Amino acid sequence: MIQPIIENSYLVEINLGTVAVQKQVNFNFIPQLEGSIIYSIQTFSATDLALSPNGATVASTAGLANCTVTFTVGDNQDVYLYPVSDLRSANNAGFQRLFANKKLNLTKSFVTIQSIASVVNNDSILFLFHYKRA
Amino acid sequence: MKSQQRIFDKVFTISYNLVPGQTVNPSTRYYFTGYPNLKEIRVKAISVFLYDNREWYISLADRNKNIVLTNYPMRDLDLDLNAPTIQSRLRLFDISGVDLTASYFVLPGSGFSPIVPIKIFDVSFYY
Repeated sequence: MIQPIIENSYLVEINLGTVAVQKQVNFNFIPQLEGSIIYSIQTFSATDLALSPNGATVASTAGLANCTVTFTVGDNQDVYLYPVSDLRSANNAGFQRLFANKKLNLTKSFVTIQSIASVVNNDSILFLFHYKRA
Repeated sequence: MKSQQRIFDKVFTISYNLVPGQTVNPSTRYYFTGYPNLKEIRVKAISVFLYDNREWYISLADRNKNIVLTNYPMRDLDLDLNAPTIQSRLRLFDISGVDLTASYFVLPGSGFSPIVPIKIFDVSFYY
């Protein structure tokens, strides 16, 4: 399997707040990623990292399985309701998922909570974006 | 950019150690010191050896002091065979020089202060 050669990486934390079924949580504006070309995305569960850099609790492996993510390019939802679990390297023999170079519109991208069975209030999901500057 | 294998010429490893009296506070930036020669190398891969289960995040600056890796989880670079995250896959990079004086690491959660000298982690740069 092919691995990316990483030029830049940025870890983004998205806090789920009070959880509810079908709740959508949008990404914040990240200046460093604005206009950047993203070619690989990873997530981590509490098994990999219990705490985010800010000290927030990271969603469990089961919690990730109950969430999807939609990545928007411009106004197009290029990656629609993608299982967050599939971006976790530990679920993919340690590999990092690759995407065709995308300039993500992060503020129109979001996580959807599909089930609250294993997702806890104020859990965070970590997304590690690998990118190059345009 | 994609690759399956890369050929490395050299590897340079730095260690971070603590002695009694030193304290690591949570969510505080700790900057590296020294190793100016790393500014001259083109980093092709990075691996880490963590000496305990603490979850460090590293931010790495290139030779122009631009942060190119922001809060990268060091566990994702740990080649320990028992590490569940990456199953010993060496992470590949392309970074023109590393300015350690502008690079830092943070530890979320609880801080600590060792009572005996301890090794915290090693970071290896392949170039």
